[in-house]
Order: sequence, then C-alpha cells, then structure tokens
Amino acid sequence: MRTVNRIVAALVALAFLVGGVLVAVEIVLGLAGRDPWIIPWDAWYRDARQHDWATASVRWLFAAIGAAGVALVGLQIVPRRPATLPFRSDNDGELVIGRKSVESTLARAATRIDGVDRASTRLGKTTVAVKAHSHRRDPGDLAGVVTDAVRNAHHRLQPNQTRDVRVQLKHRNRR
Amino acid sequence: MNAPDRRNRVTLSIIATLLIAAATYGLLRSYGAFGDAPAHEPLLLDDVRRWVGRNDSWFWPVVAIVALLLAYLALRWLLAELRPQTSVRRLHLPAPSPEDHISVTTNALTRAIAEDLNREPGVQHATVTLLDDGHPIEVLLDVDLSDDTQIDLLRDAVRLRTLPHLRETLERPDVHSHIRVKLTTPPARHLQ
Repeated sequence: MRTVNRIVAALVALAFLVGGVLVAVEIVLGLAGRDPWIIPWDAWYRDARQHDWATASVRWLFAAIGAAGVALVGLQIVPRRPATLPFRSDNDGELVIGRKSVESTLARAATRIDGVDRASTRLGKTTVAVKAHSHRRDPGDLAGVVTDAVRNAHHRLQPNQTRDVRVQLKHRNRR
Repeated sequence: MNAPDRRNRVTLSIIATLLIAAATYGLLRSYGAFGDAPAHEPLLLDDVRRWVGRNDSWFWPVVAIVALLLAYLALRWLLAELRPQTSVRRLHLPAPSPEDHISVTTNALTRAIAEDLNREPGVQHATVTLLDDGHPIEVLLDVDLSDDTQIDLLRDAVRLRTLPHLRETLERPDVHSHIRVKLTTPPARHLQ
C-alpha cells in the first residue's frame, strides 16, 4: 500500500507540475492575443457560461471530483504494516530489519522441515501467522514442529517484541 | 512511518479534502440545497466573470505566478519521490582556525566503509549513506545479511569497527548510525 501511495503521489505531483506550467503558458499566450495551445480554455469558458449548476454533465463532473477525493482519502486511511521492525537501540544508533525479509526468513525456516512443501508467514504486532502446505496424508505433529521451528527462528532474530506463532497447516486428504 | 510516507499522506489528504469539499458544494448547489435559483445559474457566475473582467490587468498574471509556484512545489515533490533518500555529498570537517575550511567529498569515504562492512561475516552487500552532517553526523547503513547470521555479530561489527573507523576519519566523536537490515537467503554451500 505504501508503494501504491508513492505511485499515486508521483502521478499527482506530475499532474500539478504539468498543469501549472500549462496554465502559466496559456495565460501568457492569451495575454499576447494568441489562440489556446493545449488547454481549450475558450471552449471551457463558453461551456461554463452556457451550462448551469444543475446540468447533468456538471453533476457528473462534481461526482467524479468527489469520487477522486474519496479514493484518495481511502488510500490514506488504509492501515499500513510497518516496513521495518525495530530492534534494540543503543547510544550508537538503532537497528531495524525489513519486515518482508523477516517474513521470508521465517517461511524458509518452516520449509526446511521435512514434509513441508511451501510456507508463507505474516508478521503481526503480537503474532506470526504461518500458512504451511504439506503433501503428507497424515501430517501427525507437523504443525507443532513448524511452530517450534518458526518460534526458534524468530527468537534468534532477538526482536523487541515477542510474538505467538500460529500455524495453519494444509495437507492432502486421507482416502 | 518515515518522512516521505508522512509527507505523501499529509499532502494527499489535503488535496483529497479540497476535492471532496468542492464536490460536496457543487453537488449540493446543483441539487438545489441552496435554493432553486442558485442551481440554475451558469457555472461561471456573472459576478465572478465581471469581477475578473474589471481586474484582469493583475488577476491573470497573479494566476500565472501561482500556477508556476504550484508547478515548482510539485516538481520538488516529484523529485523527492524519485530520490527519497537525500545524502550529504560534501562533509565539512573541523578546521584548525576559523579562516580555514576543510571539506571532503563523501563518496570515497562511504565506499570504503561499505567495503569494510562487506568483509564482515554474513554480510552479502552493504551500502553507506551520509544522511546529515550536523551534530551528530547521521549515517545510514543498508545491509543485506544472511539469515543464518546472528544480528548481534553485525551490531558488534558496526559498534566496534565501523563507527570508530568513521569517527577517527572524520575526527568527530558524534557519529550516529541507523542500520537497516534485509535478511537474505544464505549463499549455497557446495561440497567438493
């Protein structure tokens, strides 16, 4: 979501940059008595004088502006997971670890276990959610083994925060 | 939330608020919330048109200047998005007298520190960026670290070797580090 917001921010900035320069150029051309260059401001001026506020096209225009505003607000209030996790700090400085790289590390710890085909993890504030897949028909205590492996891997990283490990194991059905 | 994220959220929220306010006013007016007459006035109000006509000697130049100012701010915003991490290219060092000025380019220094870090156990790739040359000097260490390496080994390497090396080179005791670690797959080991 952070990346989407940065892309949107770059596009909005680009739109303001291009729009601002175009408006200034059109004003200079207009003051010099020249025709519009790119922005058809003479046609817009005519439309704005001919159409009243209750015209359907005007309503659609305001609805589109409102929808863009609501979409932008929505993008800002979507909760974001932190990109980095803080680890112990001291007088010399601070150390953070990329959240996604921690999730990949914990997933690798799970997939190293015999019987686990693939695994993914999601780090929350107080939990590590693990989704693991096994080809075994009878996984036995595989979920417990995965839990221990992920917990140990997480502990080895010495994070500021302890987290409960919750494993969801999917396996082949018995026939 | 880091500074670029905060800046984007604040700026986009302000723009979104203005858009919603304009749309709300326009829709309320078009549906007659302010009376039937305002709903059937032309979009470009006669009062506004006449006022602009009376003041067009200064109005349009001012609009052009405001548009260029907005474009300039947008350019800075865009550049900040494209280069989120600003770095210090030249560092001013303590001089023996007030008349003297000593400064060094930081490229060679940050490269040397990164090469030192690359030799530490488990470090697969490191880059060093000088963020601020104030008090303290702020340095960002981006390190790709094998996930089978103890984080404390890296912390000790930075605390015992990297930072003292930097302090000695810069002749400044106040160097503060930000270490940003990305854990990576350990390199494959081949038996021969």
